[in-house]
Amino acid sequence: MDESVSTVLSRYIREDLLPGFPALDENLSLFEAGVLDSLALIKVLLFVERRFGVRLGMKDLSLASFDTIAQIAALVEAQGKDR
Amino acid sequence: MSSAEQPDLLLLHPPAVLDFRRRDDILFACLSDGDAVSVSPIFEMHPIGFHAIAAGLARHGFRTTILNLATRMLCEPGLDLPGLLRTCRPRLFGVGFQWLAHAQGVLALCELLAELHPDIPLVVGGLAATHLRDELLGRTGISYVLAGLDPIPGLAALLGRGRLDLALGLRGPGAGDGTLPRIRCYDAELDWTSVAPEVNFFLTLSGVGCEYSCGYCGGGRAAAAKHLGVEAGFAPKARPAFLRELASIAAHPAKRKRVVALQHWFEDKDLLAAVLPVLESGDVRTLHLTVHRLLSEEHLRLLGRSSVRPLLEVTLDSHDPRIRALCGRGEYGERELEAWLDQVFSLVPGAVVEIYLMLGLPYQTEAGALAEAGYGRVLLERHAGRPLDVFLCPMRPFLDPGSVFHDQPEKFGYRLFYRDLDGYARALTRLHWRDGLNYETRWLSRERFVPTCYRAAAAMVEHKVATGRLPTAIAGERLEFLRRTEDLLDRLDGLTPETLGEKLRREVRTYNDQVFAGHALRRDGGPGRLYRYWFETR
Repeated sequence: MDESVSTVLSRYIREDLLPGFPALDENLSLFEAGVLDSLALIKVLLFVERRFGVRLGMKDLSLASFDTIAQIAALVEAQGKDR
Repeated sequence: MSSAEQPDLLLLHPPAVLDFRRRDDILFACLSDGDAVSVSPIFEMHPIGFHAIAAGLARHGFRTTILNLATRMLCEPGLDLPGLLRTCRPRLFGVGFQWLAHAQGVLALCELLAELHPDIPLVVGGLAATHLRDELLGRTGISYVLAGLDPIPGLAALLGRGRLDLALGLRGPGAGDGTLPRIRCYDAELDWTSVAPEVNFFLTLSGVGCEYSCGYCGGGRAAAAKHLGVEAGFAPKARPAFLRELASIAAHPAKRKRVVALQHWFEDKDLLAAVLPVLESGDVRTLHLTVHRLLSEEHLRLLGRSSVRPLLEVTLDSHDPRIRALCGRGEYGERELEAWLDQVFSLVPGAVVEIYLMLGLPYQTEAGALAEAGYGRVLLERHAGRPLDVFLCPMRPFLDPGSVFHDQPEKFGYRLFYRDLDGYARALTRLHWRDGLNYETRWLSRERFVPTCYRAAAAMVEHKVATGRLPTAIAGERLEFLRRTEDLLDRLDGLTPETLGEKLRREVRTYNDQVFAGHALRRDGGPGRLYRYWFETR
């Protein structure tokens, strides 16, 4: 069975972006928790682009749409449907 | 502000241009690839000196409030500035004039405060204020000018503790002749636990002045000794005080903190060994180190053993060794840098390296400036898969007064256009930023510098996409914005506020709003959103 986008993102953050970071609730604020900063943000965008083939631009990066794994997953899925 | 909340001193950090939100006759043009410089064209920098002043005055029993007007106005486009200031009734206003890029904002803010509060004295101080102290005195709204790097005695005297005439560096009614204080050691000590709990970004100052004299820096060793009264160009803070300050960062409740190590204290291996455990105990995630001299293997091994991730900011300045040497980076060549980078990535797991290249340096021709971007690509390709990034930083708007290049312009091939307060203030309000630059070089005129910067920035973005450093969509947006900026600048070329038609004014307004909204987003909705209240007293 294909893994969900949320699962893949969560694993990427815990294994590659911040090795050893505890399990992530998909509704946790990533900025608030210190998971995302300007460097990490670019890495996540690069990962999303490579792994899911979707391109997210600046308009997608507001706190309202890019702050939790669930929000990022929703963006990726929405773009995937548009393609 | 209610009367009970009124402080003794209200410190204000103005934007570069006070009425920037209404200006449709200045294009606040973007530059850089978007990440290299984290401030907008209104320079909403973090006023760390304010925090030190607040701490110093608290020891005298005075209460200080800090308002970062630049950031406030950026994040709250509807903020009524006169309305806000009208409610403020401190015993003394302090306006920060540390960076020359605030020249217009400082003068306009002082005029506004004079109008709103003619009965409250106002003092201006900071690095730029020190350089321009003679010209500042007597300007509308400015009662006192405080020069030099030891402001506490002067401010305490203005608040009633100590004699005005004995306060060094102070000029104004009842004050002395403004002789600068001589500084041998630096005793300002910050307690970071008093900073808002959501702030997770800290700066460490190990003294005043600097160990280095970079050609373009007005805060370097030579400038500090010659212009700022710092004996030997660097006055260190006592080590126990410095360690206490770091311990207060560790004790601050924020999680996954970032600490920026200013002034190269980490080059002292013993000090670095003492500091790392302190930072580790306080959940510090990243330590930013500005690397002028390549750190030794022993340093790297120390960093490699720590849980604190180092972000090594290598100020290479140029790919050209001649230029590097002039800027003060002549101690290592390309081969040494490459060997060192290999060492960093093998000895320090988790290390991130950022390499900074400057535009606007001596010997740098148009082709040379583009070659900086080309060299950036070489580095990105050579270190594919490694956490290494390269940034181009055009020197704008001014060459620093007090810097070696500024003080000896002919020797280093510079021609200066503005050298006085009114000139700098006017420069900041020029429609086209080319006309506001205070310098050009023998090798690159102002005319050619601007398009060259955009070409180099665009090339850098493309190199980053090609080497997998930048997501395609973000890069596309940046390239489009760079193109749009250049196009608009071309159409503004030769116009003045008088000849600028309504259609272009609207376009300028729309463009500026986009620039400001982008930076406000970084502050409010992105990684930097907590900076909004950075150092502000709440």
